[in-house]
Amino acid sequence: MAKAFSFESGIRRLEEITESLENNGELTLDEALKLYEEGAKLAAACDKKLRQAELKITDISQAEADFEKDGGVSQ
Amino acid sequence: MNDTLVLTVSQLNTYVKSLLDADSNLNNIFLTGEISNCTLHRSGHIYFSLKDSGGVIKAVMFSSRASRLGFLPENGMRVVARGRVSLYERDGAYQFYVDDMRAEGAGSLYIIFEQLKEKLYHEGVFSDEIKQPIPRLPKRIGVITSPTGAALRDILNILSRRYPIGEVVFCPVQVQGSGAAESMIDALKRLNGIRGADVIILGRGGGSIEDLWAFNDENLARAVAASEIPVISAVGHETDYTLCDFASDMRAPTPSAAAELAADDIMSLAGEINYYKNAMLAAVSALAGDCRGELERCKNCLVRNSPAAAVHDGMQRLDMSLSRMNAALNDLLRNRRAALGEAVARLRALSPLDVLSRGYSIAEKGGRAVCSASELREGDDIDLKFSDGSAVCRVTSISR
Repeated sequence: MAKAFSFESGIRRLEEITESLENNGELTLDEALKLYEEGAKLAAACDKKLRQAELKITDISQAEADFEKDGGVSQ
Repeated sequence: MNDTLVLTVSQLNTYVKSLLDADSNLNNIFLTGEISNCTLHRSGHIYFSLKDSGGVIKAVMFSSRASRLGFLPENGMRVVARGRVSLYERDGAYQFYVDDMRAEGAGSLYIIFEQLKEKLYHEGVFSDEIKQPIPRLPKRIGVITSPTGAALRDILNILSRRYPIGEVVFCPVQVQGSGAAESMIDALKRLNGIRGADVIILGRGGGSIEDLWAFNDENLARAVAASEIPVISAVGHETDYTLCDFASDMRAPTPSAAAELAADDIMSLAGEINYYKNAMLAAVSALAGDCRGELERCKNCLVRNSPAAAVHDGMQRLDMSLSRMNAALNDLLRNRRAALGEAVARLRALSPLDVLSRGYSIAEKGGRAVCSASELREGDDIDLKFSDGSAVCRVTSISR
């Protein structure tokens, strides 16, 4: 199962990018543009996630079975 | 009277005790009454009386039993006690030996609640220092509640609407009746065991104090406090407080409110993403603007320091030199021309040709001017030069 895009890490990275774009005076235009491109993609992915999301409901027994199957590694 | 049997006090008491002990009806009975004259002995035994409006009976609960009691008996508390009736031979008092005891009625529950709260407080179960922050963006939300209650429906409704990017890990449990607390403790352990959630909602909908009582179980409160996953308690209504509420990392007034506290709203998240988009764009635009400005400055600087200016300068100097040179040359020419004119005028004044126009003429012989009559012989041909022409003349006579 491919690791799904994590909204939380996405929005955290977005915050980081915005922060360095706003406050890092050392950035070259090239670096800034590269960061901006990454940020724009992330924002689009986050937006998409928000629009398409549907609450998933898992029973604890299923969660335990998945946990066993994944060799005791929590997602 | 002789054959009348005389008993000692001890014999009587032993006899009556044996009668009481032998009566199976008295071996295991439930007795309800109000506690009075309660003494908590240092040994751990509890001595008290149980009374109702019609009577009173002494009661004792030995430490081995009393230590398992979930509350401390107090005067005025109504209880249901389970135990046996026997006789304390030394006092000749028949009394009730209590094995177990439950408080009865809301008033008593309140007393128990307060006592447990005090006890857990001193244990540090409610301490602020062990409270954990609630994550803002949980991937998984553990929900521990009844599979049939309104609480589950409310929680799922709200999370579907506000936080559909999450996943609910549902633990169906019993929330009231015997075994409820154990069932919830088990669910907490299972979720923690697989680290199955980033935050847990533990709760149920409203009910009477008895209905909510499982949430005042001291072991459940300890399990809530010990949970490595942050717990939001949501028991009953706004006004209901349970020990779980104090032990949890956050108390929600209702299950719906718990669902709102457990995660952000996607509307605000969408707004946040939008904010980041705008802020990023503004920052990059500003940087691009700065770069453009810098570029302009460099270009200006380049222009200022360009050799073009020197070239222009040189060209200008060259032009000026040329015009000065021309002017000088013209002056020179003018002067010379003037001098020439003057010379010509002077020359003209001296010229014999001018004299000729006044009626004089020049006699020439052999191309040379004849200045004396002696140069002439009779018969010579001479040229007479006039201002506008000449004539050849022959000398016919000479006189001196």
